[in-house]
Amino acid sequence: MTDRKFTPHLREGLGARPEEFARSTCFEGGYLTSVNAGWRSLRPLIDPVQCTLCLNCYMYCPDGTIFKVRDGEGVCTALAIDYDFCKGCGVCAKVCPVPCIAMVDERGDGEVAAGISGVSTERVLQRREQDLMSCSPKRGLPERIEMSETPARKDAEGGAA
Amino acid sequence: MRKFLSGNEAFAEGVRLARPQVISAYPITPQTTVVEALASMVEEGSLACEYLHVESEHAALAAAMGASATGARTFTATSSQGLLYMAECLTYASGGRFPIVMMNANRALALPWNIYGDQRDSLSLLDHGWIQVYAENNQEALDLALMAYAVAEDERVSLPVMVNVDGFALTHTYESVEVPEAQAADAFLPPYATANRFDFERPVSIGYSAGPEFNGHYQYWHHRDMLAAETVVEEVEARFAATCGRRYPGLVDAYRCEDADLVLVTLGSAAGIARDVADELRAAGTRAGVLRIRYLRPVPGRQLAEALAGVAAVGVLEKDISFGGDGGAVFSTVLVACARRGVARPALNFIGGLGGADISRDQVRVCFADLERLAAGQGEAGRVVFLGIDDEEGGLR
Ligand code: SF4
Ligand code: SF4
Repeated sequence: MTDRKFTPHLREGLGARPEEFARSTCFEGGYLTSVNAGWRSLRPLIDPVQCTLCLNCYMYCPDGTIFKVRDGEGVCTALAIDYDFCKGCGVCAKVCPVPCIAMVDERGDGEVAAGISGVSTERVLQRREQDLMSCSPKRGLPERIEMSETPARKDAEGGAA
Repeated sequence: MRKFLSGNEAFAEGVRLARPQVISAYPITPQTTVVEALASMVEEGSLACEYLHVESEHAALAAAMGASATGARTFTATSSQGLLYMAECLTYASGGRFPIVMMNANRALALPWNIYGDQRDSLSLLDHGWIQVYAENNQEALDLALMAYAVAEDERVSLPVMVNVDGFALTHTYESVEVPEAQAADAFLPPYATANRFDFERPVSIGYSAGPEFNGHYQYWHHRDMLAAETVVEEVEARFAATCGRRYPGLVDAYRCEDADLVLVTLGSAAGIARDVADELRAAGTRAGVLRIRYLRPVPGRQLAEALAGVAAVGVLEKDISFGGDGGAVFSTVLVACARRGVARPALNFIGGLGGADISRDQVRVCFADLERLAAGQGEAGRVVFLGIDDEEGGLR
């Protein structure tokens, strides 16, 4: 494999100049312009204690909103979900072999809506305000991590190859 | 080189000269022989092109968009129900600003089932964001195949073009046609180059969504760029004349309209017989003219208003009816174009040629006679007359 000359990365919104991007639906890759999760009614919650890092959810998530959390040496130690873009479809919970992903009602009563055992059902804070679909204030996105290596391999050097 | 070709064969010659890299089409009468001819050209190696045999018209345009999104020059063709089946993809292609060229063999819509020519298919889809142009004869059809790419791919436009060719009246009728030399065609139409494509060196997002904050901007630019096509059409036609030797007159083709009292507006192959009758009337002392609309998107509003401002009566002859509306789509377009520019002339709408019926010399004479009465203050303006059906009663109000 040759080195990529360009690695797409997520950036904040483009500001209010639609003439920069609105002529055709073709624009430089790597931008996400607004939080887009207002229609989610169930929130997936990963129980990190039971998670085996098998990456099933990571591979199956249709929106690519599950990302790897790494330690200082670049090793994937946990999976996390970007709730700014997770649509709440529940595919991750279905494909988790443990299973250790709960689908929790977004309305805030913390009730587990999908049949998962052994997952904590702590009350989930309401995030509806920031999830409002349109016209949401642009804001910084959580740090993203290169998506090239499998977990528990310490020798990965240089990220994407 | 001069050849004796049907409209479909002529169009295929034009497409071959345009050197598309991908053709994606599904056969339907009366379009079939254009894609058959192109398939033979690819098979025999006279056209270096990826020919996709797809499972439907919907797939044909979807695949054409995918090909266009890789930067390929792309062609498709359809007709009637096939065009309607494509309809969902039409707005994708135009909103995505993919400069696909499509030949539409104008044909009636079901039901009742009918495979013959009228223009209800394309006229029902005027608002899907495509440039629409109507050929009068096989020569123009061939030339439009080339010119359509030049207009579509111009950066100021970047929109797909639907070239409409009257089903059977043109697609299956043979005429003597001048086929440009490949060298001239190449000089006229350079290879397609665009930034609106997938590119490993310069990754892009294509075909994304736009919420309420920005959606209107996309539609604004789409409209603006469609209007810009008027200038581009004129430039392209001037370049075509310089390289291929035939000169076209822009969005409309006005015949003896300058001093005309009665003008019949029409489009497509019916214009020929309308001009013949106008000549006949001129010889008898009636100042008659014919205004052939070539481009219906963008609407030639300025040209219509200017040509019709001084006439005593105007008729619009079209193979279309907008059920429950103000006549056919062309009639509404002409009236609005004039009204927007402060021109209000007494007008009649003549509906004919539906389901492949001939528009006869006698029918055109009836149209002009009706206009003459209207100009003399007899009869009510604004009537919608179905030729051969209710001309006696004077049309629907
Ligand atoms: S609920 Fe759906 S979108 Fe959200 S993380 Fe799971 S699979 Fe992805
Ligand atoms: S599917 Fe379940 S066990 Fe596998 S990584 Fe995802 S949360 Fe962990």
